[in-house]
Parts: sequence; C-alpha cells; structure tokens
Amino acid sequence: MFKTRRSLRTLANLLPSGALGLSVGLAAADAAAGTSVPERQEGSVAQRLQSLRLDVSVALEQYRKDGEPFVAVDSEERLAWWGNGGWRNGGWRNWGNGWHNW
Amino acid sequence: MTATPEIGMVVVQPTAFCNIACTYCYLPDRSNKHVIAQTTVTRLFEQIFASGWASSEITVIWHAGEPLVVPVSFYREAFATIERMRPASVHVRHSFQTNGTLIDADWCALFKDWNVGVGVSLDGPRELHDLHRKSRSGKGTFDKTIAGIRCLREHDVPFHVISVLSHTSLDQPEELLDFYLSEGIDQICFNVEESEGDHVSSLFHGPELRRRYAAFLRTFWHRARESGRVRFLREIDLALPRMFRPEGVPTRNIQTEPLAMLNVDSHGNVSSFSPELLGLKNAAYGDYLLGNINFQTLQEIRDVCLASPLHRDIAAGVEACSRSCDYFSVCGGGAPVNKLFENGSLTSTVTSYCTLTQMVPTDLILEAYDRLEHSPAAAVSAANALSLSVTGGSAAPEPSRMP
Repeated sequence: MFKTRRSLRTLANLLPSGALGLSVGLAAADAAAGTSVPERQEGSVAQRLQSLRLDVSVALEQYRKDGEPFVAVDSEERLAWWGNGGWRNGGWRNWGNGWHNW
Repeated sequence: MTATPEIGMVVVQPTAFCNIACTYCYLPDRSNKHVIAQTTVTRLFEQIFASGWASSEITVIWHAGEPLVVPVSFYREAFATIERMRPASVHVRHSFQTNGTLIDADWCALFKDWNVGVGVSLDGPRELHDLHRKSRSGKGTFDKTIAGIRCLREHDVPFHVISVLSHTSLDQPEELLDFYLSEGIDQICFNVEESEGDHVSSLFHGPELRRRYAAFLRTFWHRARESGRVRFLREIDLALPRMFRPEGVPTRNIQTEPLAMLNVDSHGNVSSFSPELLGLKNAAYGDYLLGNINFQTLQEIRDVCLASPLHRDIAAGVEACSRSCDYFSVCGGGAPVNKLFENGSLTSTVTSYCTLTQMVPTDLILEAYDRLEHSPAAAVSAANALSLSVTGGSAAPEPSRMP
C-alpha cells in the first residue's frame, strides 16, 4: 500500500515535519482543490481513520527499514511536540481529548 | 481491575471570583471572593507527589474565576512551595487562563520567571469581543484585554488566545485572522459558545451549526497556514496527532479517567473528569464532589471516585460511545459535562460539543488527506507548502505546552 498510493508518498514526506508541517501541507492540499466536491470516499469514518493509521504504521516501518528515522531530519522540539515524548519515547500517550477551556 | 491513576492535569481554582461578567459565563459562584489558602495548595501537592500517581509532566492550570485577581505574590509563594516538594522525575508547568485585563509588568515577570503558559480569552476585534465580554458595569472589556496582550508582547511572554465564537463571528474567519495577525497573535484556539451550567446558548443547538462551523474552520485553517504567521491552530493541530498515530496506539481521554484531571476549588473540594463540573449542584452526584484535599488523602478520594455513581455513569457513557460512534478512536468518549447539559445524562453519547470539537476537525482533515490521493495538484501543493514552511521561517518553535 505504501508504494502504490500517492497520499502515502506525501504522508511520508509530511510526517517528519510534525503537526505543524502536516497542518501546513494538508491545508495547502485542501485549498488547492478549491471548492470542488471531493470524491465520495468508501467506508465509514471509523474505517477511514483505521486506514490512515495503517498508512502511518507502514510509513514508520518504511523509515525503519530505510534507516532514515524522523529523528535524522527534524529538531528535538518538533519531535517532542508530536506527542509529549515524541516518537522515540513511544509517545502519544497524552494525546487524548484534552480540556478545551484553557 | 481499574488502572492506576495518572495525574497529568491539575486545575486549581484560586478563587471563584471574576472581575468581569461575560454574558455566556457558566460559573455560578463568580462573585465569591474567597481565596484558596497556601496550606491547601501545599497539602494538594504533597498528596499528589506522595501518591506516586503523578505523570512525568503535570500541567497546573490556575483557572476560573479570574486567577489574576489574586496577587502575584500569592503565586510566587505557591510556585516555590510546589517546586520545593517536586520529585526530580516530575516536571510541573504552570498555566493561567485569564481575561487579560489585569496583566501588567509584574505579572509578565512572574510568567517569565516560571515559564508560565498564558492563555488569554479574547473573542476577536472590539465589535465581537465586546458583544459578550463585559465588565460588571456592562461596558466592553476589549481595551483592557488588548492592553494586557500588548503588555505580554512587550515583555516577550508567549501566549495563546481562546476565542469564543458566536453567531456573528462564525461568518468572519478572514476578518478574525486579519485581526489576530495585526496584534501579533500566533497561537489560536476556538470554543463555540456552548450550554453549560447557568448558561443556555442560543447558537449551540442550531441545525446549521455544524455546516457553518466547518466552513469557518476550513477557511481559517487555509488562510492561517497560507499566511505562514500562525504557529498553532488548536482545533486542527491537536486533532492531527490523534488521527495520524500508528495503528494500535490507544488514545486517551483525560475527562473520563478517574483523577487524570484533578480539579480543586478554593476551599479544597476535589472533583475529577470535566472541570466545569466543579461548583455545580446535583443531588444525585453529590454536587460532583469526591472529597476535600484538606481532610482526606488522595487514596481516599480515589476510592470514593471509583465507587461513585458519577464514575459509573461516565464509564457507561464512554462504553456507549465506543459501541456507536465512528469517531471514538479520535476522542475516546466525549466530554461528560456536555453530555450532562446537552442530553441530560452522563450515559448518553453524541453531543453538539462532540460534533464541533471532534467530528468537524476530523472530517476536514480526512477530506484534505483524501485530496492528496485523488489530486496530483493537491499533493504538489502540500509538498511545496511544506518546503516553504520549513525553509521560509514560518515553522517557529512549537508552543511548549501540553495538549
């Protein structure tokens, strides 16, 4: 899947830039598509989210195999911001549904 | 078997008093000038650190009423006390959510000395802000809030703003962005006016709200990123890591985990789950209180929590969400306070709050990601934007704050 999908190739480029880079890249992609109605996607939202996470897992595995982990191309600050501890610490733990009033 | 608590966020209400009177405020006790005692702060953190339940990073949020009506000297003493007790393995970050009207050089010195996270409540330019954020005499507070923000900037204190969106502002994403940029505001969060406690929002339950908010957020996101001058847009930037995580890594919802958020009022009363519950009345749930930190240990408070109808019903609500909601893997079970006030039951599932804070950002991001697949131009745009953001200087250091 990783080698056959255009979005995966782009995702692999975007992930090392952290949330900010992903936010910038996806906003640009969305804006470039203008007001055209996107093709209707197959599957439920839950299935699309699962597929997306599989894409991330595949990208991570590819980085590992290639010996080009994110840490080689990004700053400590940006990695840490990905998930309170970053990828290398097995982060993500605290990326929950935080409280919005602060 | 219930998991060991992991306390990552402590919301302390130094006083319920607020010096202003916003029309949408949900706090029932905002004229009460009682201030938390230093001994209560000391006892609270003694208990947290002794419990072994402290996360390696704890964010302490001084919040609700207006934390800056309590003197700077109070916080200097409290912060020093906490620092003396803090185990080396635990990092504590203090944070204020303020209306900004009282910020001066002394406050900025405190913020810098202790690397305090500062959030200012600002609803946009004067005509939007003054619609709802009024003084106790009914005048607009814009001038004082913006003076506080300019003071933060003069002293190089990083800050974010939280803007409550109303009927009017939902139609003005570009005007809002222009305003933020003109004031040097580059970390932005939005709340949509909601129904909580005493406040019933006329906006929140409208049938068109989801579509309007999605249109607002999409335009704001595009324009903000295109400007290269916004470092942080909470609604999108915090949704991204929840979505783009490796398969199998669980999400967390600290509003539904017992004691993951510890919420303490000025008298030492302790609650957990959604902080807005603290101070509200409800006979069936014992006013949402789990104990008092001055008289009980955290272990005792936890035992009360685990045996409480409050925990039972929140857990049932999360379970119901897990069975029925496509977005569960993003949010982990919703916000209890919104289930209660929108649906009348903690065991319920979807709310307008869910729709706006979880579903709309998720939908926007999924749609953008799908466009990468189906549009070569979109993929090229993403790559170009990324290279510009990295080489062109807009990828400023990220805000050093917890989500």
